[in-house]
Amino acid sequence: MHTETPADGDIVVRLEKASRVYNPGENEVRAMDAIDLEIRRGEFTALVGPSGSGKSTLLHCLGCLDAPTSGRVTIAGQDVTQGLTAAQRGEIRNRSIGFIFQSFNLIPVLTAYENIEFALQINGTLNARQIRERVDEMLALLGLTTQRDRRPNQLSGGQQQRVAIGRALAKRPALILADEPTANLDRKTSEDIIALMRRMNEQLGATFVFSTHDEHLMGHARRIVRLTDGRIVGEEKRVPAPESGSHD
Amino acid sequence: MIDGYLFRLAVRNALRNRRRSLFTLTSILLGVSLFIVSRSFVDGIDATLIAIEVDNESAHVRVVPRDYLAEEDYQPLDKPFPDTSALAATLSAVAPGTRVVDRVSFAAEVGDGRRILRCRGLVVDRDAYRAVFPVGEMPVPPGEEPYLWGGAGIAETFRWKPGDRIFLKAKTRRGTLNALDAVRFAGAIATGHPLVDNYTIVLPRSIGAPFLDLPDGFATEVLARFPDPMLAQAAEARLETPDGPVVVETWEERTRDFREVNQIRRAAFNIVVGLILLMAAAGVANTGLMSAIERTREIGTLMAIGLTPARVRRLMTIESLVIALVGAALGALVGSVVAHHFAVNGLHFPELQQAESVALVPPVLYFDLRLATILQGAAFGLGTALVAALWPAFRAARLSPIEALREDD
Repeated sequence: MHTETPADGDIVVRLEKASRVYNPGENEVRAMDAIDLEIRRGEFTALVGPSGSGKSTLLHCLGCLDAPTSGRVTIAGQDVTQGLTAAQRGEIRNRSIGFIFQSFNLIPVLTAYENIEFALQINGTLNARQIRERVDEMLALLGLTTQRDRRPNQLSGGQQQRVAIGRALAKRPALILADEPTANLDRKTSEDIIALMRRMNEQLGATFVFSTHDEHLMGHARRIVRLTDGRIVGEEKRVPAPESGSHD
Repeated sequence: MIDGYLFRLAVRNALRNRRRSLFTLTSILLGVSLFIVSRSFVDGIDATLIAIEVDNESAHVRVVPRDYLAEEDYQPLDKPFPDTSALAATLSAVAPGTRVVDRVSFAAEVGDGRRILRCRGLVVDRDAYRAVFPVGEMPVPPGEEPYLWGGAGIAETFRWKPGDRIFLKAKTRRGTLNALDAVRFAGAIATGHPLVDNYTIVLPRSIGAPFLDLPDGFATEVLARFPDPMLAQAAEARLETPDGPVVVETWEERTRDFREVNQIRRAAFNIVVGLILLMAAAGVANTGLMSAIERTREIGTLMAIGLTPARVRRLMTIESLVIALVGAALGALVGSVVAHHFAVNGLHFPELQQAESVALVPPVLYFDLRLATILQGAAFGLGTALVAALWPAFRAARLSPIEALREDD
C-alpha cells in the first residue's frame, strides 16, 4: 500500500510507470508507456502531441475511465489501478472528476440548467436547495442565466461548451479533464472558452488537464506535457498568456 | 432524489422517438385490453350460464332419490322421496333465508289438435316455485278450468296465447294414461334456459296432483336456494352419504361440463393474448435496444459524469416501463370500457338459440368484468414489458464508457 508523504497533499493524480497496452502479443499497441506524472491542485495543464501519441489514453486513465495494464494510478489519494468494479470506478468519477468533451456531449432532452443540475443530482452531496443555488451560481459564472431553459439544440456551440464546463465544475471535483475542448469551436468562441476555463481555474481553484492541438489554448497552459508514442518526451512550465476572451 | 430525476429523464427519452414508442405502447395496449375483454367474455359465459341454470332449472342444490337418478331420463313416478318434509327442513336449516321447493317431474305430451310435442311436465306449488326461481309472473287465470304454463319456446311453436285450450296427456303414478283435452294456457315462461323454454310445461299442484294421481307430499325433486351459493357444499355434506337414500347435485356439479369447456376457451384466449404480449415484449425489447444503440455516446457520457451501471440499468428500464405503464393503463381503460359496455348491454346471439334445442346457449351474454381481471391484465402487460426491458437495460449498463464515448453521433 502506498503511503503519501505530507507533500503529497497537493497531488490530485499520480501516475507511476503507468503503461496501457492493447492486444498484448504480436499486434501489441503501447498507447501509454511507463508514464510518470503528477498533477497538483490548481494546475492548468495541457497534454499535447500528435494523433496517436497517447493523449486520450492518458486522459482516460487519469479520469478512471480506463486502467493501466501495468504501473499505478492514484486519484485523490486512492489507488485506482486495478481491481475496481465498474460501479466503483463510476463512484470515483462521480466524486472526484469532471469531464469536458470535444463534442460537448450534453444530454439533449435536458435544458442548460438541468444538464448542470443532473451532474449534481448524480453526485448526491447537496440537498435540493443547495443544488438550486449551485446551478444558479454556475450559470451566472458562465454567463448563461438567460439561456438556462434552453435545450442544447437551442444553444450555440460555445454556449453548449460552457454548459459542459458548468456541468463538470458544479460538483467541485478534484480534477477536470477536457478532451480537445476547443476543437469543434471557431476561433472567437475558442478564445471565450479558454478564457472561461482559465477564470474557473483561477477563481475556483479548479485543476484542469486538457488535451489539445490548439496552439492558442496551449499558450494559456501553465504546464505543457508533450507526448509521443505513448511516452512523455518533454515538459515545460510557463507563465500563461493574458486572458483575451469575452462572454458570448 | 436521483430516482425522481432518472424518472424525469426517462419520460423525456421515451418521448424522443414518438413513433417507435407509440408502436410499443399500442401493442401493450392491445394485449392488455384484449386480455380484459376476452377474460370478461369467458367469465361472462360462466356467470351467465351458471345464473341461467341456477335461476331457472336446478337452484343451488337439487336433491333426488338415489334410485331415481339412474332412470331420470324416463321421469318415473314410482321413485318418490320417502319423506319430503324432513328433507326440506334439513335444507332450510342450512342457513336463514334458504328457500326450498319440491316438484314432480313427469313425461308429458301437449298438442293443439294437429301437432303433438313430447316434453317435460312439472308439478309445482306456484308461490314456492317462484320464491326459488325468478321465472316471472306465472299468471293464474280466473275460473275453475285446469290450466298450465308453458315454456316460451313451446308457446311460440304452437302460437299459444293466454286462454288457448291445450291437449295434455301423461302417464299417471299408477301407469295408466290420462289426458285433458282443454287445459287453458295461462302464460309463457321465458327464462333463457332452453330446457325450460323449449321442453317444459308447468302445472299447479292443485291440477297436477289429481291428474297424475299423486298423494300429498309426493315429489321427485327437492330444490333449494341459499343466501350464499357456496352453502351448497354444506348442504351436500349434511344430506348426502355414500349409498344413502338421496343424491345431492350442487350448482357447481351441474355446471361443471360447460365450465370445463369454458376453461378451453379461456386457454385459447390466453394463447392469443400471450402472442400479442409476446409481440409487445419484442417491441419493448426492440425499443430499448434501439434506444441504447442510438444513444451509446450519451450513455458513455452519463457514465463518465458518474452514473453507475446500476443507475444506467435503472434509467433504461424506467424508460421502457414508462411506455409500458401508459400502454397498460390505456389498455386497462379501453378493455374495461369495452367489457363494461357488454356487461351492461350484453352481447346478443339470437341466431344461436334454436327452437327445440336443449343446448345451454344464452340469447344474450353479459360480460363479467372484475377488478381482479383489470389488475391482472395491467400486471401482465407491465410484467411482460419489465422482462423485455431488462435485456437492453443490462446491455446498456455493460457498455464500456470509453467505447461508448468513441461512438459517432
